[in-house]
Amino acid sequence: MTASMEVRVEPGPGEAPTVLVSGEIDLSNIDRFRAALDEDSPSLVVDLSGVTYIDSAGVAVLFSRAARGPLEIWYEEESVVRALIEVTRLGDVAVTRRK
Amino acid sequence: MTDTPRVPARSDDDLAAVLAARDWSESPLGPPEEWPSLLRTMVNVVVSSRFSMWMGWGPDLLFFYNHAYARATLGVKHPWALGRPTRDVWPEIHDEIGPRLQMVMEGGEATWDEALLLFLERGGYREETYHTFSYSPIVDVDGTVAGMLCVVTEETQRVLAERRMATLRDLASELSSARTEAAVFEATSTVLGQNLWDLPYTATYIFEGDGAARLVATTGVGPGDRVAPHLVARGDDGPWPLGRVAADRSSRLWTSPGGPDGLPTGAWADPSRQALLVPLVEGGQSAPSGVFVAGLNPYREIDADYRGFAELVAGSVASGVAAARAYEAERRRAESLAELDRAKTEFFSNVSHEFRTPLTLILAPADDAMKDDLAPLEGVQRARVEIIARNARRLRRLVNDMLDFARIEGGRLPAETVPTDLVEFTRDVAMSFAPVIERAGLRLSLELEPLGATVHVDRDMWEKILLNLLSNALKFTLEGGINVSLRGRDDTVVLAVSDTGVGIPADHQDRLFERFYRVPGAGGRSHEGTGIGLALVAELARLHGGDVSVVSSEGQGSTFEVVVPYGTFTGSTPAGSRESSIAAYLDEALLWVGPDQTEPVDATLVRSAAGTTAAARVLVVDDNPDMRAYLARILRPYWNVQVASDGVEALEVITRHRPDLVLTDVMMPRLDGFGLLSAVRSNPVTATVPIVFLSARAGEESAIEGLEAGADDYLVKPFSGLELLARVRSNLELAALRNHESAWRGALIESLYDAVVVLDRNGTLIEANGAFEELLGYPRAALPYPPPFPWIYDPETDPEAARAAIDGHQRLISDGRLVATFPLRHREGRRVEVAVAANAVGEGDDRRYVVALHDVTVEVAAAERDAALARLGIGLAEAGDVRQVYEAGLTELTQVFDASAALIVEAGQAGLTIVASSRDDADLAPDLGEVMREAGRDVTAVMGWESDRRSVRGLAAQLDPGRGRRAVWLDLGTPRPLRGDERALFAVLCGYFGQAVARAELYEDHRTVATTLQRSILGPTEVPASMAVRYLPAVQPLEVGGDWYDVIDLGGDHLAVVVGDCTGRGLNAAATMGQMRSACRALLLQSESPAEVVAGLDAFAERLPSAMCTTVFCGVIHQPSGTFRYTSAGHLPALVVNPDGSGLELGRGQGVPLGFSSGAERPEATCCLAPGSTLVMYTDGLVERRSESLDTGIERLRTSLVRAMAEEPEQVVDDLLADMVPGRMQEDDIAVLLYRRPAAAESGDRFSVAVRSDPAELSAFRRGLRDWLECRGVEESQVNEVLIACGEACANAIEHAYSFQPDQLVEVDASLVETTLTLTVADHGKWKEGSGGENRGRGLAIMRALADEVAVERGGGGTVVRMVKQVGP
Repeated sequence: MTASMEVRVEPGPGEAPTVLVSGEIDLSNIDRFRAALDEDSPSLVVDLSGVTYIDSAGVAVLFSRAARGPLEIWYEEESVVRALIEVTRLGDVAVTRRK
Repeated sequence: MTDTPRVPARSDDDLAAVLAARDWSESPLGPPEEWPSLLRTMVNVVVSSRFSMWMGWGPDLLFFYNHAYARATLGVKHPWALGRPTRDVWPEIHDEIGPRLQMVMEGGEATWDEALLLFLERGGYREETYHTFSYSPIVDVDGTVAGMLCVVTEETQRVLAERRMATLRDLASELSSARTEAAVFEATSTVLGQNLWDLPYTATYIFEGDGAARLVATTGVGPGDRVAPHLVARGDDGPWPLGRVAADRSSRLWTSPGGPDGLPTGAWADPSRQALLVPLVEGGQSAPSGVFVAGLNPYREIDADYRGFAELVAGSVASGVAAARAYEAERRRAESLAELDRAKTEFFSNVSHEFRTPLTLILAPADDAMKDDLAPLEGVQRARVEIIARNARRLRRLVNDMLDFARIEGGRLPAETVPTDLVEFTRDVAMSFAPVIERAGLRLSLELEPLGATVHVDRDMWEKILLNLLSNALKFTLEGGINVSLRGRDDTVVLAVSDTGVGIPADHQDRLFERFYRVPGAGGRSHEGTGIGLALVAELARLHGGDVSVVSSEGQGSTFEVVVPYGTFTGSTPAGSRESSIAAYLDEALLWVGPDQTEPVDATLVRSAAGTTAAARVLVVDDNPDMRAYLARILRPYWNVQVASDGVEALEVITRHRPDLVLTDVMMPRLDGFGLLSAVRSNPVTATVPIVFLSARAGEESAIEGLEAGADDYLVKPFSGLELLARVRSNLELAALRNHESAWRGALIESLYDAVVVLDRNGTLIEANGAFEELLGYPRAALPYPPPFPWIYDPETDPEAARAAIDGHQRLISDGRLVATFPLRHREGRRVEVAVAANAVGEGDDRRYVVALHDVTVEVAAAERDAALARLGIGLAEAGDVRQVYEAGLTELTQVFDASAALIVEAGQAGLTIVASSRDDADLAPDLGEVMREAGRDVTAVMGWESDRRSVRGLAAQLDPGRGRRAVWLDLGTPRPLRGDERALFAVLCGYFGQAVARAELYEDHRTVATTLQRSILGPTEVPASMAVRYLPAVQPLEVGGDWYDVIDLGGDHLAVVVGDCTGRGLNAAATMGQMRSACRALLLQSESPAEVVAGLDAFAERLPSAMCTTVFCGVIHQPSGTFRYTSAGHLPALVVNPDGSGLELGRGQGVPLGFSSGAERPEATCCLAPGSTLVMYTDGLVERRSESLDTGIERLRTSLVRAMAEEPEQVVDDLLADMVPGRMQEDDIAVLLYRRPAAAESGDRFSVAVRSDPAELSAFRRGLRDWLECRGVEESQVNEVLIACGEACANAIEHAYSFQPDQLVEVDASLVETTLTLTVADHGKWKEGSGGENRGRGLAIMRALADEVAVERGGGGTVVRMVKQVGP
């Protein structure tokens, strides 16, 4: 069974649109995740507070998106996302923020 | 969770359309565009809801509702009701709902009513309905109450179904114990009287023999009422067309007679105007036994359910009646058979005895008259008296024959076989018949071959056999001859009597040896006859262990063949003590052949020399053999002569058999004549025997000496033969004259039915009659009997019986009188109950005690039999299943008959087998075939005659008469004779026994049907060894139920386990259960989440009203890790007990029963099943007890589980059930499911899986690992870290080692020892050098960062990543 992931895009509070992701991100749906972040806007907010799992492939997508423009990542305290952000030092290339 | 709705599209289109189409301009509300927004919103809410609901708006509570409500509740009022004031919509229930509405509108309070009875008029009639509903206020923005909302569930069908099921269940339960029709009707009245809602009144009619219908039970109405007349004559329909209903064999709706006034109302206010008339038909029955009149609920339409209910009630009553009738008939049959048997035997023996006394009083004076020389009968008078005497003798013979039959039947006439020169004896008897055969103009020829071995026969019986065959031959042979042959074979002796007579038609030969059977129209010398002779021959032959047969052809003659074994000695009484029957047979035969023309010369001589003393017995005592032979030769032609060589020997002969005269020498060795004289005189029995002295000493002195000593006469040698004859004759005549009076008295006493004995003053028994001999088997020849009497029981073996008899004897001696009843022991060992009446006569030395003993064995036995029946009845009533009935019955039979064992043989497919036995040991192995054959031959059959022909090994009887499938065998242990009534008692007891078995079997059949039905819709019975499942139907009343269990292998190490309970009982509940189980199965195959599955069941239950309130406990076990995810929909908590005895109730994940939370998420909980732990899921029947809280029950279950933990799963379940429902008498059905997690193979705790190399598999794998970690108490953040690290390793394997090739395996093994987690992830793929790049490097870095140690071993066979991490709380 493919990991379940839901994606929604909302106009952000500022100029950057917000991509809300929930569920699990892994090899099985990495392409959908990548496509979801493929917004035209140069800057992007990615709300990962509903994500229960993410692996290095997901992190890789985030790194490459950060390379295209300002990226802000929201996450939940005590989550897989937080652990991974810390380990991969994603904070070095994007703004990471606890929700 | 998923958003996909699992329910069909909402069907509110209809109502939306009605709303839109309605012209609202006339309404106070105006067109919808102008409605307040609150109203618009609320109407939308109502209309779009799938729950049945309505709302009232404004002060008039204008009525809005949805499709569900219209369909379920409004009926014909839809769509008229839309927008109307509520009071106009529901005027009929305004009294009930008015106050509630007021409370809501004015007080702003919500209301709640459960299953409230409301009489709705939605179908054009006043209807009994039940609704569960709540009213809640609709509050406007300003805080005012703008209207009210009602959410309602109609529960009419549920309430009705439960009420009817309860009645049917109670009826079945009550009827199952009703054994008589009266009890059936009483039970019917009792049960139906409790449901005056569905059956306001009932009248049950049973057809009598003349076709009239008799009222047997009523409820809700008094017998004799106009709807329940006592009797409805045939053809007269009275108020009901009972005859027509019976003829049609189908139920019919009928209007109650007369106007509505005065009709019964049952539980209602209005009369029951209609009744359903249902014929009482039992399956297979040809005509209805009656008609059941069911007054109908005025507030319900008679739909299929209602009609079905009434017909089921009638069906129950009909089968109750049929069962009671069958029971009654069977009981009567068994009783009447036994009664017949007993009556017949008693009749024979009583009648025969009654005949004997008057016959004696006819024969004795007739003989006297013919012998009287002083006033001799002359000419025609003598001829008349001779006719009287001859016929009296003939009658006496018949009576004796019948008595023989009665004795044979009662086992009181054993064959006393003694060594016999059978050739000589047969010749003697045959030759005695020769004169009469010759006189008839026939030839008698004998062919008697010498026999190789000694033959043992009862001589009296042999004589009777031969005489009967001879007289039969004579009677039916008009010319030709009769041949008697005797020859020996290896084991048997064959006696054949052939004649050249009329022969016997072939179709009558079979029945020839039946008692009282006479060949109709057979030509012969006489038409007289009782049809008893040949039957007696057959019985006597059988008593010898032989048989009789006949070969005959009409007009040619017949040959009767009697075959008997050589036999062994069984004689007890001295041979020759019985009177010979020859004279009686000859007398009769002479009647056939006509008057005697040529009386033989020797007979004339005898008559002249012996006179009236011809039959007398004379004892000759002389020490000189020549003198002895001479005397005997002179006397023998005239009297019955015995000889003795001295006084001692003479006394021995006299003691054995009292002679009528003793002729003795005076001088003899050992004991001389005087000694003999004094010995004879001193014995009261022989004191009056005349003694004639013979002496060589002449002279007056010796004569005087002899006479003074008490001799009767004195003869001096030498004397002439004529003188001797004259002296003997005159002394015999004198003695006869002297004894005339006492002889009369003796004859009378002899003819008495009761035994009469005389004791002397010391209590010694000195006189007894023949009845005494017969009663106790002790010969009079051995008189006197001094105390202690041998017929009194040995105080050692039977102290009670001994004391009673000894007390009686002493009381008689001290008080001079006695009336008492006690048992005595027959010489052959059988017990004889006697009623004793005794009185003393005379004083001093002459004091005597006259004692009459009356045989009351039959009466005592009858009382014992009644007691035995009562005991058996109790024993059988307490037995539940067939096995218990077997046990109770066999135990009782063994006790009643003091037998060593009893068993039941059954003819099944595997041949004959022992299905039940009172003992287990192997030496209980009778020939089963013989048991079946014997039992089939008669209601009871005696089996295993011993060679003595009087004792039997046991009794056999069919347990199911008519079917011959089973037989009871009662083993007496040591062979013994049977009392006359023991066979009858056995027959009756086996009759009862058979009935009880049949009932128990019927019950078990029902139960099997119920269980089979349940099993056919239940879950699998074949489950993995780690599991055990059970389903037990309710016992009382026996019914299928709504409980189920299910086990589904979901693949990928997941196992789903489900236990559920649908409400209600019976087929409906079972059918619902079947659907729920299937639905649950289907859902589990779609989702491994118990919560999702149960949420799906919610949606399902909503569409299946009978499934509402179903409770379910649904869980999924991940077997490698022992993770158990579960949810409970209102179900009792499952229990888990660990190997160390600790345990827990799985009370989390608790939600409401099915059907109440459609659309809502269900809670789900997880727990960890430790290795070796046991999970038990169950339904309430297992733990629920009256007068006990559920918690107590669950605690009992937990205790019991801890106790049984060590066993294998199957055994654990059995132990639990034995503990929780002892005797398996559960009142509710029970489903139990048990899972045992295998104990860990090594130390520590492992999670080991093989993941397919498909990215889509990763999510499920992570969930499994997460569960495993979580339920081991690993902290959330650490769980996340492990998941990431492990996920990276797996992703690497799939992506790089296998390059996304599917169907390869990644093996993951996690073990936790204390707080050290070791993880290995192994693949068998090949790494492409340089692949992966940045991302792969990041994966490894993530692993290194999150685990304490990471080692990667890469070889030709693949890669193994090993990680170690300290985790723990």
